Amino acid sequence: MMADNGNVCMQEVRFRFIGRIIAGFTHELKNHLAIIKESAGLQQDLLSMSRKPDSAELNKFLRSVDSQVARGLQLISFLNRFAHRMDYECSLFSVNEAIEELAALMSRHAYQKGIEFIKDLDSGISSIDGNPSVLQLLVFLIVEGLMDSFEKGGAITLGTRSARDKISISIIPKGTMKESSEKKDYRVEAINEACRVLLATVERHGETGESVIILSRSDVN
Amino acid sequence: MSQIKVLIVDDEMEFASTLAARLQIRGYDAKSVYSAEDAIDFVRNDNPDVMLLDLRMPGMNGVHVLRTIRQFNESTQVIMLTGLGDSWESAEGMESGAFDCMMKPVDIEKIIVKINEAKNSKPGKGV
Repeated sequence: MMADNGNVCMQEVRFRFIGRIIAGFTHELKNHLAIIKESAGLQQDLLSMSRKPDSAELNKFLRSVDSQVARGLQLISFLNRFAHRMDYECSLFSVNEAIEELAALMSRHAYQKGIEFIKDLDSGISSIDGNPSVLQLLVFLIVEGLMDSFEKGGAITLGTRSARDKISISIIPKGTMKESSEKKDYRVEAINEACRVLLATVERHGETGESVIILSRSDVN
Repeated sequence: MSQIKVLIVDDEMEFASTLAARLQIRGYDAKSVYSAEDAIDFVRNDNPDVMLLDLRMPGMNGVHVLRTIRQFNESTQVIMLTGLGDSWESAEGMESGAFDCMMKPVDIEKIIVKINEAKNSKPGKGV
């Protein structure tokens, strides 16, 4: 069991993580609703001018609403699944799905920093038993750290690979690294704790900023 | 009476262009651009009366755009469009010389009232 101080630290980190995800999600959903509201308003404007919208205009409007609703629903599904991953401490889950979901939920935060996520997921990875929300937290902490240590712009590739005795998750940044700061990174302890829970290790390459999370094969079903 | 020139700045292209179309229907000379850099160029070249400026954009945020514009333009009135939880940035925007802040999505009638108020309080406007 962790020391009290460790627990408090981990809880704060988790709250921050969940807060970031919810902030990005609500911002994104609000944008979709704002577009639907303006599109519907434009149709109302045209009707109130006794101008019948032509079929091309109407189709454009309907397509726009349809696509905004579809994007909103997809985000809602991701958030719902993200929340339910916390129902159990341990469950059978797909690493790829957990990474994909996290990337979608972090995309607004990344977009604000001009960063694009590239996914390079090995489709042959089997499901594993473990704590998916701790894995997502671990990936989040590493990705957030990269976003803070790189200049705006660039890309982060999230890759998964399966080998004989392990599954690896690589997080590879592309961009310009900022001058290193002396400030203590609050994430370090949380990353260690997440690794302990997951029985994982993280290999970090300081010069490139690349990290590889290695999950032991004993967790694999 | 000349049309009020309004610039809408938002990286959500569909939102900005649709809002511009709705303002055009109501008689405004409304244009939209989708990045901070384009907004700065537009203000430099076209000097709009009022700018509706999204606070959160990738790259340069709205407050930074406002501060940059204020270095060469005192007359364009800026209304910041904010999201949830942007209160700190909104306050920063007001300190940097924004006319007002409005939370997205906004009712068109409320935007129009605010645009007209902003236009009427333009610096150097005669009484």
